[in-house]
Amino acid sequence: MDSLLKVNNVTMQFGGLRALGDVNFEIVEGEIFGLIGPNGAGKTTLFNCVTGVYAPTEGAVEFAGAPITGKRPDQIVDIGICRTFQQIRLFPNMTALENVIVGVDARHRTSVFGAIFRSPRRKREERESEDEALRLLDFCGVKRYANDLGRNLSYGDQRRLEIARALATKPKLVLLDEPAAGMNPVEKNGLRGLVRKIRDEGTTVLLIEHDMKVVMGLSDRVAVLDHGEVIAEGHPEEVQSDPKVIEAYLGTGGAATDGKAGQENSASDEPGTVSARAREPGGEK
Amino acid sequence: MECNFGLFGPQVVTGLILGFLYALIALGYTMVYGVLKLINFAHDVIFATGGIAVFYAFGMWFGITEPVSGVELLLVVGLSLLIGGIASSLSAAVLERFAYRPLRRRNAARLSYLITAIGASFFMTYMYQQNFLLGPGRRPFPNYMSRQSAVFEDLLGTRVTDIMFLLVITSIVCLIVLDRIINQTRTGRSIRALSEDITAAQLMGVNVDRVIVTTFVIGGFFAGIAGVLYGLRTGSVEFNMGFFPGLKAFTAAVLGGIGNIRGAVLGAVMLGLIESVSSVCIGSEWRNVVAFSVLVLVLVFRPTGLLGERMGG
Amino acid sequence: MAGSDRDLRTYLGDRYPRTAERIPDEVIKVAQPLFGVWRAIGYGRYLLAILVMIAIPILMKPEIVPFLEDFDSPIPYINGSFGVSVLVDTGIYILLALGLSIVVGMAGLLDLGYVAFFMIGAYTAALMTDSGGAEQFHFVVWPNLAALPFAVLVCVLAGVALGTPTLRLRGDYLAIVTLGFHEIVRQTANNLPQTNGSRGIPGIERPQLGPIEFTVLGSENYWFYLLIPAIILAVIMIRHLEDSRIGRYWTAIREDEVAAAAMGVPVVRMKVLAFAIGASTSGVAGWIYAGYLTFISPANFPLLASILILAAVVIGGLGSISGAVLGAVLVQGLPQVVREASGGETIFGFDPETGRIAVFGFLLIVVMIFRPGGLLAPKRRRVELSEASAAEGVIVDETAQPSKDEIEFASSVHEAAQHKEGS
Ligand SMILES: Nc1ncnc2c1ncn2[C@@H]1O[C@H](COP(=O)(O)OP(=O)(O)O)[C@@H](O)[C@H]1O
Ligand SMILES: [Mg+2]
Repeated sequence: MDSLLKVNNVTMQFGGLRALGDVNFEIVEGEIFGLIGPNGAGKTTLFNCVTGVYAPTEGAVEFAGAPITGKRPDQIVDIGICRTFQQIRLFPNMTALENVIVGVDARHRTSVFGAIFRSPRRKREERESEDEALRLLDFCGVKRYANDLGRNLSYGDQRRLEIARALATKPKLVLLDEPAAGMNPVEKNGLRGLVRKIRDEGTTVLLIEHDMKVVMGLSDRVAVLDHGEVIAEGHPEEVQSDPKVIEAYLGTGGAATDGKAGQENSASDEPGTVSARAREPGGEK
Repeated sequence: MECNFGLFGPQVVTGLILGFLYALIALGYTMVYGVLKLINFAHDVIFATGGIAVFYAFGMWFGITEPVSGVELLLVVGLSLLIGGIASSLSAAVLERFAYRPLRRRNAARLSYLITAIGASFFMTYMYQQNFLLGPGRRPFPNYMSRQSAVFEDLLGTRVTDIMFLLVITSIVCLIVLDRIINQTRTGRSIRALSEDITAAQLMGVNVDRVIVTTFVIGGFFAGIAGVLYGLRTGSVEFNMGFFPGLKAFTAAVLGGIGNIRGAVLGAVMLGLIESVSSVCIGSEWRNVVAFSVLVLVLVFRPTGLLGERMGG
Repeated sequence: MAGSDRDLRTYLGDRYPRTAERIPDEVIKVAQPLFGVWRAIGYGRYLLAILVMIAIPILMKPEIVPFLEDFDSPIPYINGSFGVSVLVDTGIYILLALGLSIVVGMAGLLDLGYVAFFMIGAYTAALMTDSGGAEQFHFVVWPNLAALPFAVLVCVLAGVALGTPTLRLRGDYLAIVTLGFHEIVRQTANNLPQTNGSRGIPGIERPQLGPIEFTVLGSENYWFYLLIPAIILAVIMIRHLEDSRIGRYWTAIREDEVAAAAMGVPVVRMKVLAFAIGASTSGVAGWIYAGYLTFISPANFPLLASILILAAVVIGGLGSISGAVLGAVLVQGLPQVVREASGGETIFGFDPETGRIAVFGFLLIVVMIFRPGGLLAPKRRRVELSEASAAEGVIVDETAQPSKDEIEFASSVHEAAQHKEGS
C-alpha cells in the first residue's frame, strides 16, 4: 500500500532544547501506527509539527505525496489530518453535539452570505451536520450526552467526545494523543475497540500511547521515540525486544537501579527511576 | 515640514527627557504584566493621580505655590515626589484589591480583566473631571520650581532647565532603585518567581496576593513620581492628563518587550526619540500618529518586543 | 429545530431561565397563541415591523387622527424635537452596539476603537455627497442615498485592513492597537486638508426619500425611519450568523482558539470577518449620522464614544442582541433624558454629560465582578466569563502533568519488559 504520511528528517528546536532530532518514519494507509516513548520524548511535539501548530525547524512532512510543512492547522485539517489533544481541549461550554458539529463544519461550504441570507445550501448543511454529528456521537459511544455541556462529561467520555469531534472533519489520518490516559481498565478496553472500529471504517490512525498493553495489542507497527529521536521502528514484537528500547524504558539511572528496581516498581505501582527520566511537562500549545 | 538637522541636537535632548518620563510610567505596565500577564489599562490614571495629589496637597492645603530655592527646594521637591508616589501607590493598591482580586479569585476570563481595567480607568478619569474634584479644564500645577534657571546653558544646542534636569536625575535614580529591588531583595525575588511561574511560586510558599499588591504599589509609586514630574514640566494638571503619556508608555513597554524591565526603559527612550525627531521631520501634529504606527508595526513584526518578555535582569 | 407550535415557556426558558419560571401560568396561556402566530409568520414579522414604521408617519397626522394635535408621549421628555433627537441618538447607538457585539460578544475580540469605523462611515458619506466647507475635496458628488453602500464598503475594507495584520496578536495587545487605530484615524482627519481638518465638513446633504412626509412625535424626522429598518436588518443578520457555522466558529474561537484551529477553523480569517461585519453596521450608522447632523468633525468621534459603546455591550450582556439594545438605551438614551430632567443642573455633584462616563466605568467594574455576563447574558456567555477555560487561565496555568500518568507509564513499561523477558 501507499505511504500516507511521511516524516522526513524533522527537527524541532526550542531555544537550546532539541525536542525532535532528525525524525523519520512513514505511515501506510489503513494501518494503526503506534508512537511510544517516555514522557518528554517529543511525541506531542511531533504531533504539533504534523498538524501545523509548530513549523519544524528543519525537515518536511508529506501527506499523500504532497508537502504540508508550513501550512496552517486549519489547512491541514482540509487536507485530511485531524487530531486530539493530550490535555483535553474540548469547547467546554458547547454541548457535546455542538462540539462535534464544529468538526463537521470543516467539510461544509456555507459562506457568510449563505449564512446571512439562509441559502438552501445552509439549510441542507445544517440538517446534515446534526445527523452526522449524532451518528459520530453514537459511533464513539457518547450519544446519550449529546445535549450535555462538554465540561460536564466524565474524563473518559471527554476523550471519546474529542475523538468524535476529530472524526467529524472526515480525516484520512487521525492523530490520537494518549487517548487512554487517565482511563480505567474497562474504559481502556472499550477504547481499543473504538480505535479498531475507526481503522475498519477506513481511517488511518497514528496513536501516541503511554500504556504498552494498549499499543502492543493494537498497533500494526510502532516507532519508539526517545530524547527526540526514533530509536526503533517495526512490528510491536520486534520493537519490544530491542535492547535499546528496553534501556530507554528502564531509564538511564544506571545499572544500580534497573532490573530489580524495575520489578519492585511494577509490583508496587510506584514511580521509580523511570519517572525521574520525565523531563519538563510538555508545553502543548 | 523639512527635516532640519540643525534642530537635531535639541530634539535628541527633549526626546531623551520624554523617554525617561515614559520609562517611569512604563515600569508599572511591565511589572504588572510580568506577574499577572495583564495589561493594566488603568495605569494611566494612577500616573495622573500622582500629579493631581500634589496639586491638592501643595496648591490647596500647604499653599506652596511660589518658587523656592536652596535646601528648601530640595525638601519641597522630595516631599512632592513622595506625596505623588504614595498617592499613586495607594490608588494602585485599591484598584488591585477591589477590582482585580475578585476576578482573580474566581479565575475570570481574560476579557473580564480588560473590561474591568477600562472601567476603572474611565471611572477615575471622569471622577476627576467632576466639579467637586478637578473640573473639566487645566489647573495650574504648584509652581515651586522656577522653570527659568538653567542647569546647562547649552547642551547640544538646548537650554536644560532645572526641571528637565530634575526629571532626568530622578528617573535615573528610580531606575537604579528598581533594579536593586528586583534583583537583590527578597520581594524582588518573589516578584521574579511569580513572573516565571505563578503556580510554582505558590507551591514554594510565596504569598501571591501580597506580592501582587506589592508589584502594583511599586509600579504605582514610580508612576506617581512621573505624574509629579509631568505636572512640573507642563505646569498644569488635567483630569485626563494620563491618557497620552499612558498610551505612549504602554507602547514603549511593548516596544522593549512587555514584562521585561530593561526592555521598558530601552523602549521608552527609543519612543521618546522617535516622537521628538518626527515632530520636527513630519510635524508635531503627526507625532501621535507616528507613535501609534510604531506600536502597530512593532506588534506585527516583533510581537514580543526588542528584548523579549522575560522579567529578570 | 422547533416548529411554530413550540411552547412559549420552553422558548423563554432557554433564554432567560430564571425570569421564565416567574411568569405566571395565566400569562403564558394568553400569550401562547400570539406567540404561535408570531412564529408562524417567520420573516413576515420583520416586514410587518417595517410596514408599521412607515405607516405611522403617514397615518399619525393631525388631519387623519385629530387628537394627535395635542398628543404628548407618555414617557416624559421624549417629546417634540428633543424626544426625536433622543430616539435618533439612541438608535444610532443601538446600531453601533449591535456591530460591536459581533466583535466583542461573538468573536470575543476586545475592540477599543470601534468608533473609528463609525467615523470612517460618516466621513465617507460626507465626502461623497454635496457637502460644503472652505476647501472641498470630494471624490464624487452623489445623491446621499447612493453613498450608503460605499460607506458600508469602505468600513468593511477598513475592518479588513486593520484586522489582517493585528488579529494575530494576543487579545490584550489587540485592545491597545485598536485604541491606537482610533487615534490614528481621528488625528489624520484632524490634520488632513482633504477632510477640512478640525473644522470638519459642514452642509452635508440629507437623503431624499420621495414624497412621503416623515414625522414622528410631531416633528419632521426621517432618520428615525431609516434607523428602524437598519436595526431590524442588523438584528436579522446577527441572528442568522449566530445560527450558522460562522457563529459556531466564533464561539469555538472564544472558547479555545488552539482547539478551534485544530478542528479546521481558519482562526485569523474568522476574526477578520468579525471585524469586517462589525464595521459594516457602523458604516450604516455613520452614514445616517452624517446626514442627520449635516455637520461632522473629528470632535464628534471621541475615544469616549468607543468606551460608551463598549459599556453598552458589556452591561447589556456580551453576545446578547437584546442586551446590546438595552445597553445602548441605558448608555445613550437614559442619560439624555436624565440631563433634560435635571435642567442642566448637576446631580449629586455629577455633571450629567461627563458624569455618566464615571458611572458607566464604575458599572463595568461592578458588572464584571458580580454579573460577568451582563444584564441579559446568554447562558453560555455567563459561564464563559465567570470562569476562564483552562486554555486561557490568567493566573493558574494548567500545565501540570498528571503524575498518575507517569506512574502508569513506569509500570506499563516494566510490565512489558518483564513480559518479554519471561517469554
Ligand atoms: N513550546 C515549547 N517550548 C519549549 N519546550 C517545549 C515546548 N513544547 C515542548 N517542549 C519540550 O519538548 C520536549 C518534548 O515534549 P513533548 O513533545 O510534550 O513530550 P511527550 O509528548 O513525548 O511527553 C519536552 O522537554 C518539553 O518540555
Ligand atoms: Mg505528550
